[in-house]
Amino acid sequence: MHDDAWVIETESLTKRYGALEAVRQLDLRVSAGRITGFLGRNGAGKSTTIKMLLGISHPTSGTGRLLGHPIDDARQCREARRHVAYVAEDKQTYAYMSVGQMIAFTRSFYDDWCMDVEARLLKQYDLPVARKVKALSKGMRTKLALLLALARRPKLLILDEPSEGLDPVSIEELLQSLVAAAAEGSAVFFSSHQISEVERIADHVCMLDRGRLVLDASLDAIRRDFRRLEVGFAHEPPHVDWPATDVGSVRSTGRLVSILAKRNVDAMIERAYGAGAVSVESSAVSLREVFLDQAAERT
Amino acid sequence: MLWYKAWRESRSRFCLAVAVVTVYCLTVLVRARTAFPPPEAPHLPYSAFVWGELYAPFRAVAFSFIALMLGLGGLQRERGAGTAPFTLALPVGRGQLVATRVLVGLAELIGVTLIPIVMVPALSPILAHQTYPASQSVLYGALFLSWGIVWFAGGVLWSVLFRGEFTAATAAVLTPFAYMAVYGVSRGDQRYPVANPFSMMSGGLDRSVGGRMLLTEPLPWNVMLVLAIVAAALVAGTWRITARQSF
Repeated sequence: MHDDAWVIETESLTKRYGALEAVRQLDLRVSAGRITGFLGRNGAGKSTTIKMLLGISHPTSGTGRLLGHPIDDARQCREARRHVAYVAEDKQTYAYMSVGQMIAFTRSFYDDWCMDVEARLLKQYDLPVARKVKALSKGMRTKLALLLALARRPKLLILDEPSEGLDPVSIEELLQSLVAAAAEGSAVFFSSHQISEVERIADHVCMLDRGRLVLDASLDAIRRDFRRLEVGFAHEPPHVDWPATDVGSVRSTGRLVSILAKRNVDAMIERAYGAGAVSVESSAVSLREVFLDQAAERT
Repeated sequence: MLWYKAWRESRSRFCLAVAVVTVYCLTVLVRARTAFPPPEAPHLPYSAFVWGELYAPFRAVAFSFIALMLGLGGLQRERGAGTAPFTLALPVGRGQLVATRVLVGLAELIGVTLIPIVMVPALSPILAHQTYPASQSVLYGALFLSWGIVWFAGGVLWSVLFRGEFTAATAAVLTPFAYMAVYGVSRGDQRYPVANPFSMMSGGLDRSVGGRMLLTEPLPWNVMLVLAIVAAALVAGTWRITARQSF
């Protein structure tokens, strides 16, 4: 893929807080024109990564580019932010402003603001324009933050746990809004630990665990290539060198070996029989299984 | 719109400062009607009475606290409120955020300084049945402001060094005391008399209380320039620290 097609690129991006390495040597690429889900458990480093991309937090080492602009250059990063809409994890906006003032304030910074979208979302979200932000419920605050991000036509939409605090109906509306934004040409990059949301709308998944990228694949590839292999042996399973690039995880329970295969399933089945397996069962895996498997692997 | 944000975030402190200074000035002027001249000093000039009530070193300390408090706020405070990510994701530089806050705060500081400058000459004939020269108010206001901007810049610096709002406020309150402690230990009164902020803000006349307490000499422009440079250096330090901070 041509470099211009990456809206987010990082190279060995690292963030340390004292002894804690929140993000480790992250090489991440997010392409334009797609919805990319950024999955990971709480504390995996998703928010820290997003903050580094936007210049809110500075990397300890490594580099990155946002819409082609280097994130370690304050001026360039500011230029990139003109074309990026961001919804932060806690969706806090200025408590002392009213909803209307908050919208007017945010609108003043962007040339790509769409008044018609603003009006539509105000109506759809049923936001009280005159009410102070501090008097809004968490759900309403989230809706306001979403309005401020979606009432534009940004090149890139970054959302950190966008559905947190929303009721099911609002989550549905949110997901539809994200799909619509992508259809209009915005790249969408959203972090979540709600696998069902990612599965529903994402084209591509990046999974972070303890600051490391453990999965970077399209959902189609996951559905097509990923398989659970249950390999049965007559006796104690022998040691088999499964190719690291093809295997997500290997776990043994008695005479049964459970393998999450990422690709080349046929070759792995052959290898299993070659190692003395008496049975091999192959089944499709869901994103949830992949997520839980990766999480369990590192616990 | 950053101006509006900076104003909204500081206006309660500013309004409180305006209210305190206004009420205090009014109290002094109203009290002058009955308590001036004081029985123990029947020949005290009105200008000396005003100096004692408004421009004496003790009053300068109170003004310094106001200046320090007007410098507080900013991104560290926003971090506590959870709004720092929203602000920092806007397409504006951190330097612009600091500059806007400083300029709005300076305007507020000047506004507070203007209250006695305007009120005392304008209301003395009405409330105290006395006259006070406007030029003297302006000169004392300029002296208050000369150190006021340094205290204000100190408040701005504390606001980025301390995450907790109360920690920054506590540091701000302690600053004048800490400064005077260092000044006293280093025998500043003998070696650097111009570095005594409260003496300078009071016109350097605190040893001649019996006089008219009117400023007859030109303002110490050199010292005021140095103080402006010190304030600018503190703000520049604030900007550099803010640019490097992670939120």
